[in-house]
Amino acid sequence: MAPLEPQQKVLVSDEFFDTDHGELDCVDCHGGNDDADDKEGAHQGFDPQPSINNPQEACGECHEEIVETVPQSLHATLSTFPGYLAKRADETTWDKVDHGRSRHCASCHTSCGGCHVSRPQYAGKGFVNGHVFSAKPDPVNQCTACHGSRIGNEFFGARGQGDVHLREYNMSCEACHPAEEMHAAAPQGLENRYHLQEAANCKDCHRDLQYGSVRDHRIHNNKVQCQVCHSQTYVNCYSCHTGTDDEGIAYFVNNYEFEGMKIGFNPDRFPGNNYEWAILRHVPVDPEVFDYYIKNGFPRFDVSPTWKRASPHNIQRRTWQNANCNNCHGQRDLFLAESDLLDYEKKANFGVTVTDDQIPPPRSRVMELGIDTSKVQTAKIVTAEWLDEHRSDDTVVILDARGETAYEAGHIPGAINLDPNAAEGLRTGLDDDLPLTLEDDQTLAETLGEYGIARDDHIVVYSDRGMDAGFLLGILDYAGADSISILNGGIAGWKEAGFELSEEEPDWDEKTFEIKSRKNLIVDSDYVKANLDNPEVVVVDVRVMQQSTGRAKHSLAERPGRIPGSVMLPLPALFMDDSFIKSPEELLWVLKERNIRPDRTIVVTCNTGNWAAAGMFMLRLLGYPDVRLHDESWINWTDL
Amino acid sequence: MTIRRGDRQCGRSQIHSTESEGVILMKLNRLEIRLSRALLGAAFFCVLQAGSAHGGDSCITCHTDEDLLEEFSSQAGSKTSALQAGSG
Repeated sequence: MAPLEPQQKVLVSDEFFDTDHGELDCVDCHGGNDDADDKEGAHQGFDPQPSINNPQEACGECHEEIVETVPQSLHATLSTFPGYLAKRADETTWDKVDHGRSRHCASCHTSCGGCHVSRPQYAGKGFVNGHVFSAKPDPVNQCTACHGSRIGNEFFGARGQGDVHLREYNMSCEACHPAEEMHAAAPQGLENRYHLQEAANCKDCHRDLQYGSVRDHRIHNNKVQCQVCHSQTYVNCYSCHTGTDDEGIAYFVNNYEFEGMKIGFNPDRFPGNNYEWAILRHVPVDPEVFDYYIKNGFPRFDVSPTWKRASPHNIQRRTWQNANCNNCHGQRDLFLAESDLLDYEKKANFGVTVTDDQIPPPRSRVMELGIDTSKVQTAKIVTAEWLDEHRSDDTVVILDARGETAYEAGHIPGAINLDPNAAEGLRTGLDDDLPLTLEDDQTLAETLGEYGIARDDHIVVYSDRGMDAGFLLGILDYAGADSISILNGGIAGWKEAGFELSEEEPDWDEKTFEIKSRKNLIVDSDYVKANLDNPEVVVVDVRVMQQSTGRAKHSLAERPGRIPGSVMLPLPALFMDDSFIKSPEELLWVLKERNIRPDRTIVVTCNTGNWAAAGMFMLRLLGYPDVRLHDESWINWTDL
Repeated sequence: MTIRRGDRQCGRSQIHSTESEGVILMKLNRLEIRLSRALLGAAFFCVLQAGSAHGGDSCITCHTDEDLLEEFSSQAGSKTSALQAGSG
């Protein structure tokens, strides 16, 4: 989330004065001196965060019952976090560990203001809506401003498909995490957030599953955590380290993350959550996390697992692992093995890992999914090994679709840098009538030729995000390129395969790109509008869902929202975080589940045509015969 | 399927009714303080009031004017390290 400009952070709107809080004087809550006639005088004794520093007086006079408990709530104290650290430390190391914790980790806490009027401190502060208070926190600017890289990305589809509660029922965070949970005082010594009496639980709504019509609920109820069957892959963090930068500002970093899914034995069984099997997430704890302050700060590191029970916020009713019994049963890779552990954490996860003979065995009779992969254009995906073997071929052109800085830091030897987000001559400018749409054929052809590309070359594109490579490939596809491929895994896949990077920019000769544009791949907004009620045309919106559900908008769009009737399928659903493409069988099954069928015309749209082009490339790769790009997309649609 | 959330929302509406009573009580308390303050600095207060879009509070003279705020807050800097990892 981009930070607000300093003046925007503290700009009070006229609407505020029509609210209950607007009837109070500023000094009532914030102190300061409203008689002063200069900035310094006015801010004498001013408290910018009264709900953190003095909630009883600032908020408690009106919200008495709430303020009685909020200062002891998990959002205010993060009390379970030092509890875990203290378990791993001992009496000789705790003081220094706790000092590090208070410098690097405690800024995540928040209080009334950070949920009801401002962006929280961790998210850079600033009013969300001109100082207008909202009883329900803003899921974009408040909840996921802090809970972002995991929960926010999962929920809104910046990783995976997003969450069904949002897509189908338009539910926001507070629907499952109401005030009673957020305001609850955490008891002393609370083990973790799941143990809070008021904590959200799937069964608060989804009750009596054992008596329902779903066979698998009757079989798995109370044995398997709901998320085992109903979540998608999620991010795992490793190697958190703390430090102080050159300006003396404290920071922490996670040195390694990966998207995946692991099932293990539930390390946190207690009444009401006594499942045997749970989804596990690697938490970023590391024996050396506070080495900056003390070496060997955790002599009792093994007392708690590093793979913890997790609740990914990307729930789907139907997932790949519940599509078929044997997508889970017998799948060794899906279950946490001892070999998945690093040396320092083997003891810590004793009892959590699953041995081969503990894995639920495959079922002998299962329903076939009936996914036809015969139309998948496998030649459009190349591996790092293939590219290493062929990168010197005369007809192979490798394009690096990342930004210039990343390219200069190291790229695949021989790769030419063509960042489709920055290069001129691919899309129209911001001041054009239809900004960021594809350039005319002649301009496109000249641009591609300047980068040393001919239409009959075998063009391999990679990036660090599948969507950027896909965007460029979508443009090349439109331009009529004969042979285009995406490097599976992108730059991460190249490195993972053990191949070297180069910092040397290759020389290349300009070529003539004889454009044979595939006009039928592009549709304009008039076409989309004319087919809104046509059941044979399916509009697929591949944006993240905070945008497609109208909770946020692209900076160039006039308003938030989406094309009526469009199907939401965020583009990251097609790629893993590291830009590896998910298995074609799984992707075809996901598309089928969303009723995005190959016997219909599929129109892919987004904000600017960027992700939509990548979506078009991917659907054509998967064998869909009639896929169109709505390159005008939402920023131009809002002008209609 | 039974939804418990309805029960929880009852609590939220109680919060709103408490809020209205609290605002009135708070305003009465503050009014007492402000009356004595106003007697001491009436003339200066009136000048400020005249210049204020919403009356009674000089803070909003600046905080409702983006141009003024930009002028006064241009020196504000970030306190987050460039090395800091993303949110949790």
